[in-house]
Amino acid sequence: MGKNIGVYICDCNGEISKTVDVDAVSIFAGNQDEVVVSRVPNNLCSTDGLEAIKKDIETGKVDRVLIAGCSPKRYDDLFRNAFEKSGLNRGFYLRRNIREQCAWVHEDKDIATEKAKLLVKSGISELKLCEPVQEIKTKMGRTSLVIGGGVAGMSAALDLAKNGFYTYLVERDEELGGRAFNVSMTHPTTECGICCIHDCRDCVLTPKPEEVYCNENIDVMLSSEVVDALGHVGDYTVNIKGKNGALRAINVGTVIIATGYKPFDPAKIPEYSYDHKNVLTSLELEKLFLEQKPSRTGVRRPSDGKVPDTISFIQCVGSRDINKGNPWCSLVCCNYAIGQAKSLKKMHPETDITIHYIDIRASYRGFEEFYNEVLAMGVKFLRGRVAEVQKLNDDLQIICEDTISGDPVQTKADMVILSIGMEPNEDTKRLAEMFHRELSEDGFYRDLNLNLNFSPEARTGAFLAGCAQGPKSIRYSIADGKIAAGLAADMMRKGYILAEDTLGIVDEDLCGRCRICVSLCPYDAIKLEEIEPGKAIAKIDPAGCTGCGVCGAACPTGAILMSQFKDDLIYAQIDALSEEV
Amino acid sequence: MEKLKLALYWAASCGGCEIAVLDLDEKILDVTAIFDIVFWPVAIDIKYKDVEAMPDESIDVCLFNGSIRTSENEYMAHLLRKKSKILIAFGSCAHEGCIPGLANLSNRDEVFNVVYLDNPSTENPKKITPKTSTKVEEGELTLPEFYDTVKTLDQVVDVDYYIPGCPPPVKLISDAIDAIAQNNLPPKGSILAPLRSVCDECKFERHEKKIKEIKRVYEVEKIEDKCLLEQGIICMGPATRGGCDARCLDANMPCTGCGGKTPNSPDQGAKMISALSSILGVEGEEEMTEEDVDSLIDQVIDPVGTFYKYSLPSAFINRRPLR
Repeated sequence: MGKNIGVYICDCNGEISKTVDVDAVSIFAGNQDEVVVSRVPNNLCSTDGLEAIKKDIETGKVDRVLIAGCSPKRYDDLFRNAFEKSGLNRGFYLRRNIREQCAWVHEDKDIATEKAKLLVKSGISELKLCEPVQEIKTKMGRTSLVIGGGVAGMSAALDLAKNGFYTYLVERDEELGGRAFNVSMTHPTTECGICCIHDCRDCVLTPKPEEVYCNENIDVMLSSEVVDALGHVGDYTVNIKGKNGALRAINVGTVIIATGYKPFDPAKIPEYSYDHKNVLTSLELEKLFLEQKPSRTGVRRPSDGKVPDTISFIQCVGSRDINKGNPWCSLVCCNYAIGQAKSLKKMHPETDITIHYIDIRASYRGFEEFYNEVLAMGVKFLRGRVAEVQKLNDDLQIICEDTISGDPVQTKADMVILSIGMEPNEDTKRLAEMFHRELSEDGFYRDLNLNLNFSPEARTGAFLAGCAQGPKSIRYSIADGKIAAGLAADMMRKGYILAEDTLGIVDEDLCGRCRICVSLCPYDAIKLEEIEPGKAIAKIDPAGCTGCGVCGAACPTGAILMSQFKDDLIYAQIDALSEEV
Repeated sequence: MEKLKLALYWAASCGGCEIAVLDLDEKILDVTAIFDIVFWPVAIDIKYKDVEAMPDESIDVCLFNGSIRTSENEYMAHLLRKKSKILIAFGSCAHEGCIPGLANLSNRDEVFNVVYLDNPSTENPKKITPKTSTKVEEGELTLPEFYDTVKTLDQVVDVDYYIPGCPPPVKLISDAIDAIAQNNLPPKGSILAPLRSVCDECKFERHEKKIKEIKRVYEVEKIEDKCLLEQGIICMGPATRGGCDARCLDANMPCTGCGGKTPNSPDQGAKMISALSSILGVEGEEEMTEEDVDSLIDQVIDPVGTFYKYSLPSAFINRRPLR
């Protein structure tokens, strides 16, 4: 087959052409061997730009395409799919980054242009040696495992089950519901219709544990934990330790991690006197709400049973606090405190309630109105981070500065409520390793990437939902569960995965059976296959392989090659880069 | 049928390759049945001038052992290339440079200094070191020039085949002779040995390979019946071409790498370093400090001598910089 290379240089609306002479690069590329087309199309990544390239492919003018423009992380899928539709094998399409790696990092136009030429030249020399990519069908199990039986996990399990996928739901606690079912209400619930009394935790929008227990497609495992997992996307064998320590192994195609969060421990900020009986966290206040709910007798303070005359809420306990807590905003605490203050005000209209805040973040639909409603009810809002909560026998005293007036504030409170933030759960890291997911620096899972072909979800079959991925409200955790279930269902529906052979390949004639690769594969994708009695050579399962290259680097014989990064391709690029242009 | 003409030569080598030929035992009779030995300095008295007088390509096969470190070695490599139809780099020295190649960590002056001057068993008050030319009463005496850098045979002349090993295993020699006799040689440039690594021939059981520390053989009290690498001993077997029946391993000693690199490997030492660094301390590596990593690596005593014992001249980085 002839090598008719088309080189398309993008000016990125001036982003590239302001420091790179794209026309000079294009002329340079056009003079290289086997390059038949070299152009600077208008708006390369737009429909028009793509159409022009597709036309070159469809008319048979070019059979290998090099795009020099932005980072290959951008639009890669778009380009691949567009060109593939025109009949170009994915293996014959390459990118070179002359924006982030060239235009944006240089000031001198001559130097940047020179470098862009080199990058394009290395791409051309690589493209000459590229081979077509074949697609391989691999197993995709049609069952799923949801870890965590909170609202996100329940919502995911219910959606999967409704779509006909048998789902295992593993919950560490004795019952489903998670943290949402330890709160007395959701806010600003006004959608419940006729019976709505605005403090009902069983809002129609939240999934019900009963629904989950009753569903014939869901196998609920309570008081259970995931012990370990072997395998990869499409084919995980997961060991689950149930009640009494009994182990059970299940096989699933996808996994949804919905393990939630851990509340910030306020004892880490000793100035807030959490050891005092009348200093409670927002979650502990919930318990008081729930306890009085049947009798509707209102809240009493723990030390002496008195109806509190004054209650102070302290916001951002452990949140937005790089010194004593975490840098992030926990998203729900403002609305939550406002809701709790409203409930308290309704129970005890005489009680003086103050919310000490830094900023009120009443985002999302209905919450700003909710905030104004509570403000109108007489709940006070005082801006400024509280410095100290002093203990005065049963009572407490708040020391802070009103940062609006600039006045120092010293005010008594019968009860103090600490609005504690969210932290990653202890299990996060262990599960991340098990299911090959990465964590961000904050300790939550790295963000969902909906560009499915290259997302971590596609590589690992492990999806995320709810607060495992960072602070979220109940409503958005439930939505998350639905998204994760939808993505997992999309993946499982066909019953197989099309893996590309852009992965590790073992040359069977060279494998010395040393087993170094088997020990190292982070995806358990390398198995031993007996070729003659007693001789088992390494074999890479394309379904599990992500092309990470660990085995290729470790293979001491060179039997393992990464199909897209073969030595000759790399040498060709080094040669091209080390020549003058 | 006329016998094939065979030449054997030794350049910079220890002589072990010559012994390996004799190790053929009764097979040597087949050799003499097939070949006329026209040149073999260690065994028959034929001078260089006799070789020079031979017509070009009159020798059918030349087994050339030893690396190239003097002008004499180099001259003979060119001469034998010209006179031979098939030139075979025989043994590790000619193939990849071998032990003499470790002199590339040094240079001529340093080598002379150790050998002729600064050496407890040498008395050399006049500080005499070899010179290419010395005037004496009777006239001029000459010696070949000693080079700073040791080279492999194929860095000097075109080589047709390679037989690896220090020395080459008898089986490889005997297979090569059979292939020549039956005119059944593989494509030019082939290494006349199996494709797979030493591990493929090794007797030891192998399992998970994640090692915590490196030990030298004397530090291991009892060799267990499992892969030596898993016991913390650096065994070059994984990165070394087989064909030796893993005979060192049979004697409970690690492979030191004389078979040279494997087919897809551009650099034997680099491959082994890459493999070893992949498995050494891999468990708990996230918790390791720079110092922890340094102390792990410091456990490798003599890295070049370990990873490049036989292949330094043919490695990517094939010598210490010359000033």
